[in-house]
Amino acid sequence: MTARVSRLDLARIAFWNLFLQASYHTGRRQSLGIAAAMASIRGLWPKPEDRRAFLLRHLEPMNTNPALAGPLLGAMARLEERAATGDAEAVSRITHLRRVLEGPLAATGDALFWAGLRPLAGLAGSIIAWQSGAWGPIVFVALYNAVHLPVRLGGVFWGYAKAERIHELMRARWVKGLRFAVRWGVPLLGLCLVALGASVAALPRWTVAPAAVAGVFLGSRSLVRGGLLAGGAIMVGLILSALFATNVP
Amino acid sequence: MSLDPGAWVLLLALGLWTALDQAACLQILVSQPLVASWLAGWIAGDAASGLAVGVLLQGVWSRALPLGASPLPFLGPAAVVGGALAACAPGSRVGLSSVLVVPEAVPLAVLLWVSIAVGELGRPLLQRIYRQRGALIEMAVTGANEGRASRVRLAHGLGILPTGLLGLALVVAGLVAGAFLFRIVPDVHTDGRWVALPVLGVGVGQACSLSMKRRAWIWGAVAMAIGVVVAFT
Repeated sequence: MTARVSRLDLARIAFWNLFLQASYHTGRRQSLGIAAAMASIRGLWPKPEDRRAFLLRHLEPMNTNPALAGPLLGAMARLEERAATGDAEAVSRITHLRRVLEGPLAATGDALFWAGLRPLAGLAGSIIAWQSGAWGPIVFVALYNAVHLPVRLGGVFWGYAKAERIHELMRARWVKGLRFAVRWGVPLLGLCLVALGASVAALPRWTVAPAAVAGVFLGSRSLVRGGLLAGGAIMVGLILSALFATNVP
Repeated sequence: MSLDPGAWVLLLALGLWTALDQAACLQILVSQPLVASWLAGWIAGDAASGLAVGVLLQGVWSRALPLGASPLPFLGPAAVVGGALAACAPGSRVGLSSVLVVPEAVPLAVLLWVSIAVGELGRPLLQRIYRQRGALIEMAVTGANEGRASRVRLAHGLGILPTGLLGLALVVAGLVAGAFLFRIVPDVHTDGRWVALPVLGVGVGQACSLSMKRRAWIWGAVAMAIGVVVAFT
């Protein structure tokens, strides 16, 4: 057999990767999304029994970070191609690859994208919104997706090229650079936003710094959920406004 | 609170989009409060108020992370509710900066609470949807057993429906609740910055705590010093 995965097939996988979470299930996690994406290369398996086995193995439970699912999908497509061309061990390596890498990729992706790039872009966007209005949300979306979309979509092609060596992603230079940017960028941008809040030409500017100190301590110890903490801050603000505020015209 | 039918349709479309962006597809972060509240405010007629509330809510939910598939507040619809209510809030506006404005203290507190409540209400409901997709899984497995990839994809695509409907329902519920509360809250006209700035502060602190676990006290001390120095000058 000479079946091959074309660049169009990889583009289809990348497209379906954008819908990875559409049918997220508590037990099966992203398995339907993975199977729907991998179905783009079902042409590798023309025989019904082979196609059945192909679809069923990608319906096995799996969970990873959506942004870093692309490289894993690409690598699995490469191994499917090898399996279809007669590599007897390739199928077992697909299962192995999923089991071994879903956790580390999830941890790396969550730290990089959800807990890293998102707050970094959020603070940058908030500072710009404070000064320039609508540019804030635009910069926020652009900054996040300048990293997210190339990794999520282009990652499929990269994963296909790397196959079983996609674990190299976790040691990539850009990953280290992003971690560095997050480690220093988030606290510094946070201080900038505190300074902006404290520069408001009104008495409540004195509340920003103590509230920020409370937020960082309670947040770092995971003592209070975001909504509850904000609810408390709103209540404190209302009480202070009743005590000190003058009526606005 | 008055919204014309066109604005309602656009807000519902935005609610649907943000719900799906967060929990189903793309995840390009249109569902984050900074974007969703701004767009909702713009649709409802006051982009500056919507954006100001977006800045506040972005901090409030900075630690809302779907790590290891942990339950997450339904941020998208909640942010749409917050932005739209900010634009429709009664009373005058005060400037947070040269471009951002916030409603008076009581309406601002009400709309922030309603928005947070919508997000927190969406959390268990979204989890319930995640648990009850057994029929879709069965449909996909049956399709796979028959070798039909189209059925697997159909089952996958159908998963979008309940998520989108939940987003729509939460937007409607939040807007109705907010409009009702705006009518019954006391008629007090105090500066909204008394509510906005403490919320901004705890939000920034929470965002920074993500990368400052052990050294949080250093950041806290520097933030306090900067806050005092800037406020004095």
